[in-house]
Amino acid sequence: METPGHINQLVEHLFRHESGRLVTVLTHVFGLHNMELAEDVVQETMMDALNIWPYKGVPDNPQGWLFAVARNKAINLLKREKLTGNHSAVLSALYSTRNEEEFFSEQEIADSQLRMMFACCHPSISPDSQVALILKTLCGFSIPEIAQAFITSAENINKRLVRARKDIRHSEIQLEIPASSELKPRLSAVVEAIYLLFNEGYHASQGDKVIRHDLCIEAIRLARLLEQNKVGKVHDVYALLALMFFNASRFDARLDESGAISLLNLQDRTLWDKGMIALGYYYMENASVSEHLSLYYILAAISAQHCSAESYSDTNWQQIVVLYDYLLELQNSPVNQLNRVVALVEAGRISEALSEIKRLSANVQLNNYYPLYAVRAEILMKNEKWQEAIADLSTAINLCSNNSVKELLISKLGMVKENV
Amino acid sequence: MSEFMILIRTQGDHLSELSAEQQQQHLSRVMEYIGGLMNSGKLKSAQPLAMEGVMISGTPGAFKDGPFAETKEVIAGYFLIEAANLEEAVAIAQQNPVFLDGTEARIEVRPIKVMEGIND
Repeated sequence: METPGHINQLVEHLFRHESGRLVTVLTHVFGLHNMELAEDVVQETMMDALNIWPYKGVPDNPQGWLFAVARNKAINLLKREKLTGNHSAVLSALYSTRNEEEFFSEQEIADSQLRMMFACCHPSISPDSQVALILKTLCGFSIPEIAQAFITSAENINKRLVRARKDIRHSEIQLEIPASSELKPRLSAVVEAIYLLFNEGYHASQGDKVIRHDLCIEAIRLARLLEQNKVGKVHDVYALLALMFFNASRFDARLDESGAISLLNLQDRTLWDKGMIALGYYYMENASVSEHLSLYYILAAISAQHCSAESYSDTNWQQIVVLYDYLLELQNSPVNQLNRVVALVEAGRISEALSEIKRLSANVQLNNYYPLYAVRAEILMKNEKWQEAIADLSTAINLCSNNSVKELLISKLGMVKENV
Repeated sequence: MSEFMILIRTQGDHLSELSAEQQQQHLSRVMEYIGGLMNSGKLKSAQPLAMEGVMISGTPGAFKDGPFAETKEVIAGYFLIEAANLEEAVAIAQQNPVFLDGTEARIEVRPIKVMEGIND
């Protein structure tokens, strides 16, 4: 038996990333309409590793081991199932290769993942299914994990995936980067799916965790894959990357030692990741070359304002209000309007904030949206209307389903009650 | 020092419900566990067992090959270890991460039978 010391060779996220890569590679082998077969083979491969490594030790080259096992399973399956289509070329290619690098170069794997991304975002697949499909096929997420990320049941996610696969077969979606006429809308869909993924990770809507780092990191990984290809060197992709890096730079500072939320005004800014901020500016600059102005760009610019402020009190809130004005021109949603109110309060424009929040309170869409009550409570506190603030904070606490945020609101409520 | 056979009994696919990250965490814990056993020289050998096989029963001349997995619980693998006594062997078995992840597991700890002066 070999000596230990293999523990450290278990690369971080090995299982997740390898399964994503293997599914992509095997889908290329089996054809997109046989995506489920690829997923089954990969699932079995991972189970083999789990059943064998604990006794025999982790192999020196775990990736190579996984590839070899998946390759053998694929060959057996191709021989047994007589899949539709011409597989003899693929079969002989598989036979003659011993390792992943021979079969697929890094570049080819990256391209394959890109093609998969575009296929997942085909217009015949609904947007919520697109993100689920990306997480399943490209990011190696399990169905329960996806369900957890989107606050729904595993059953529901399963249904979405089944429907998406049916759409793939019916619409005969190909594993390819769309032709120029179709490219633009499809690229927008891909960018939006990545944005949704990042957002879900950044504002975990439920449970104990404030941030689901893994979702954010996957979103960044996918966007960078896109950016490295010529089709992805466009404003929207750069702007999205800038936005993601600026926000991700604050990961370490967003939680205090006990794991509770630390608000922007209390964060230790020395913990902000300078490297990520620099990448944010880099992509921001690339995005600026375009005449086009996207939602992502404005959101990135708002984030950049925070990243460049030495302290909370140095933040240029007037400028942030202006950026929100631009944002509302592009997307006049109640949630964006509410965020603008926060900026108004910080900019000292309390009376404007007050009339805006009154107007927004009448919007039924925000009736059950806890941030509305939390923001209104802040404004009421500035106006020393303690009783009304207490009522709003209590409502926010009842509506909030993220435990960390809830705790924060509860401690604020306690402070207000002491003031009265 | 005596030798002990540790038989790991689990519900066949109990790890398949875990997420990729959880599976990896499980594996890291397992590797740490067997790494420790190997370092201390307590681990003699270990093998996983395939999830298929047959169960042979009957009398000479009338063998029956039956399906081997009669119940959901199967022996997933074994460790052959060296320990001072049964207590130590049990303590080692109890630390197996199989108890931390997935569904219920059972581990059988059996001393290797030694006939004094014959196979000791």
